[in-house]
Amino acid sequence: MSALGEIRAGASGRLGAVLVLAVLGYGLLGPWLSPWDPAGIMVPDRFAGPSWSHPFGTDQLGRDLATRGAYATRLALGLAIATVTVALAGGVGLGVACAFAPSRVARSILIGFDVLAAFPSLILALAIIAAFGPGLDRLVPIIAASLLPHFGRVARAQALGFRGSAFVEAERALGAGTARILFRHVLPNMLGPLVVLVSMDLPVVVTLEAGLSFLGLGVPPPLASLGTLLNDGYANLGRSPGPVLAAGGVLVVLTLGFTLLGEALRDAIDPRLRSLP
Amino acid sequence: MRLGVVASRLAATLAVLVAAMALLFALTLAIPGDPAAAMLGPRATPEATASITRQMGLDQPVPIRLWRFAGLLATGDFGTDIVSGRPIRDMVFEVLPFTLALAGTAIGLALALGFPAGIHAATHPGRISDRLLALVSVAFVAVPNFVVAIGLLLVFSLRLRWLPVQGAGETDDLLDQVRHLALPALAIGLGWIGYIARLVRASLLEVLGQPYIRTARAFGIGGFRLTWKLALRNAAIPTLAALGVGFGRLLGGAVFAEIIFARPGLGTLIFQAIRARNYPVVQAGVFVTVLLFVATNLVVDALFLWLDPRLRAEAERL
Repeated sequence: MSALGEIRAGASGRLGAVLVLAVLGYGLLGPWLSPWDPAGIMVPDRFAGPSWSHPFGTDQLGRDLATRGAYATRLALGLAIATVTVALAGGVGLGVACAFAPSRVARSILIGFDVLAAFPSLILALAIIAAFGPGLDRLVPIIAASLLPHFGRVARAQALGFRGSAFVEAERALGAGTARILFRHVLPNMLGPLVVLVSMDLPVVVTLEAGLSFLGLGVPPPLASLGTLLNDGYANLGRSPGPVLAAGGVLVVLTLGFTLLGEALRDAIDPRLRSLP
Repeated sequence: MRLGVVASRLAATLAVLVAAMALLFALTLAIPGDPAAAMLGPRATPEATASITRQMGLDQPVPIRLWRFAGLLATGDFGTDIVSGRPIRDMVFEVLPFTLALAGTAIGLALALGFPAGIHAATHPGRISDRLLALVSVAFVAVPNFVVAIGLLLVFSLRLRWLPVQGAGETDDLLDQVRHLALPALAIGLGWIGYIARLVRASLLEVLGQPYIRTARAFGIGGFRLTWKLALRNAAIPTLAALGVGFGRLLGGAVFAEIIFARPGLGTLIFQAIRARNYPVVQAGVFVTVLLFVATNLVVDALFLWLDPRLRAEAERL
């Protein structure tokens, strides 16, 4: 059975796919469909409940929560993809280098992975943001660095497996250089497990970004992140639970959808990865 | 050769601590502008800035600052807080028990609820309860803990008014403290309940399929107690591994739970220090958190080698 077929066969994978499609549609089409300005303040309408014109209600300044949530979803998805791409490129580069480099270099890269992985990532992010202040240009590298060892280790293990394999030996005997072997054979064959890791790490990035933004240490204003929306709602929780439910609901759908889809993808593509936490 | 294994683990731990120290120090050099002026904010006068610069030793050359910083962290004396005039060590150790109680309760809750749930799922595979549990446990793992925390706060504190909204409770009233602990601990433990349930289910299903268990069952041996014993014996190691690796995430979750429920703790301390741009306190808080994290990993590693003879043999071969 093909990977896609397997995902469609499992209930949780199907649910994940539906949630992901819903959230993608919301984030991509929402800002375009909405008649509201995400920053448009309408104080008389504040804390409005759900209605036809404001499906998720309004926040403490009367801004339309459905519109703000859509922009925030778009931002969260964009940031997550950017961050995971950086982590993927860095991790695969270092991991493959580690598999093909002389053992002394390889060992120091591995120690680097261990040290990086041993940091509690949120605490590390807090320390760095405390020094530099919040900003997108530091958010992406900080979160990417915390994911990098994970990618690096998997890429290394994969590349090590290929290094001694018969088809690589055969290529070498035919006179292929290391670069050709890497790009034509090793990298394409590593794709499956890496796709799985990417899909499993997307919700992790969304969570970290929203968490830091909730603390006011992530996405800087005037950009609205799901974490910022959640914090706005939290500050006004006594007056109306609406904003928290809207922002929290979008976050739940986003993280749950990607996690369910990621797990279904993992089971379909590479069940051996199941042991990874 | 067991000593060799232990030594290499200790060396790795030390490397992480040195890296953390180096990073925390490098960050002070990288703070844009003058740290003293940043701390004072709009109140900064040239005299006050100069005084704080001197007090923090920022007028010294970098190597001397690094040496002093390393000395402070290594001795566990984090210097004096410029804002309150109190030793930073006292500030950290005052709130540390609250964070430890929160993290400990969360793990305890996760074990107490995750194990029975996992055993139930493994002994009733394919039933609706098993499939529901599979979905719920993924949901518990996937949903961000700060969303859970706010949700619990909204439902149980603000709507139902069953549990208190904020704080850690009266110091001499244990029941009050437990009531204040319940929601934050559940918020950060929820993900672990799902995770442990899945681990227990998987490891138990693996043994239950073994021929000797089937034979025992065929002869009428077994039942409830056997299942529990098997679950405990086989799921203990993966659970321990997960907790060791995940302790950092737990401490990260504690930051949110402490802030959302306005509890004292390391997270609140670091967060407030960031807000006040009080960098020495941030450094101390982060360093102690990293220390806590690597110490847990070391203990888990040691427990690991002790629990699993196969692993011990493998570690010795390496």
